[in-house]
Amino acid sequence: MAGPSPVGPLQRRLALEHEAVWLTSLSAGRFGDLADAARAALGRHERARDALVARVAAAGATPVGPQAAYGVPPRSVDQARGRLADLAERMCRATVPLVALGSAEDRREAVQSLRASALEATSWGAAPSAFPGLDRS
Amino acid sequence: MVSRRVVVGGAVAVVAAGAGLHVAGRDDDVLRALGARPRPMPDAADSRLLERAAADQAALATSVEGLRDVETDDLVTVLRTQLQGLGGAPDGAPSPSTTSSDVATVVADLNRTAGRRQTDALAAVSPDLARVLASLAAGQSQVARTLGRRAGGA
Repeated sequence: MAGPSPVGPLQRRLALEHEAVWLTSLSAGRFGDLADAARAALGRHERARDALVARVAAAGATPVGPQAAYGVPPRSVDQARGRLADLAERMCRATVPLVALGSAEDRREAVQSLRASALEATSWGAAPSAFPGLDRS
Repeated sequence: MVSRRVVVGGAVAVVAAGAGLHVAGRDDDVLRALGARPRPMPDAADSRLLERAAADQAALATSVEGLRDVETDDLVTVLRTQLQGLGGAPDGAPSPSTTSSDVATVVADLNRTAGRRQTDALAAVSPDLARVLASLAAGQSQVARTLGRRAGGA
């Protein structure tokens, strides 16, 4: 018997990866203090986006595309850090459901992505959380 | 009386998140009041994973609490919240041999334990337990990273 479809959760995660590509690219270009870290994050999110596009397409669905923009661009380093941390925390919440969907390899990927997103949140200034992706706050 | 048995997601924050957590044991009325889902027949292997996680967590919290040269109050709160989410400390306090006063050693312990929880998340039979262990590992990694930075590491 087939389990629940992972397409919906994959699409939600993909939508956030599009946002991350937009935000890290913009932050790398605008804020010298963040340039190195944002560029490194950009590379990770581009790879994650491409992998998710492939997984969604392989599941027979049309991958969600990026928006032209995701709100007003940050105007300061602090604003950018805050937005990046918030996005990483939203990625944690979007990734937790994927832990329990799909194959063993899919679970492995989700577990690793959850940890990576949690560490990214911390790197942008978020406080540690007891259960990233599960906490309500 | 509520006996100490296996609970996943007893922590209010986790249960409140509506994660539909797998719970085995404890008084069913108490569990339902917390919003959790009682299950009378837990998988034995999952129970062992959870008990091991709680034992490791108790040792980690004790270790971080014992550090003197770096601010740890908020980190201890996170670790204690995680322990509560696992159903509390198991019978028998963590052995003193599992604790260290050296920050680098504690950071390494945190990362090693997070790695074990990631492995356990892959092995868990219950999807709910897999999610909790994966999230726990991520939170432990955050604590390790933060503690390392405060101690002057990368």
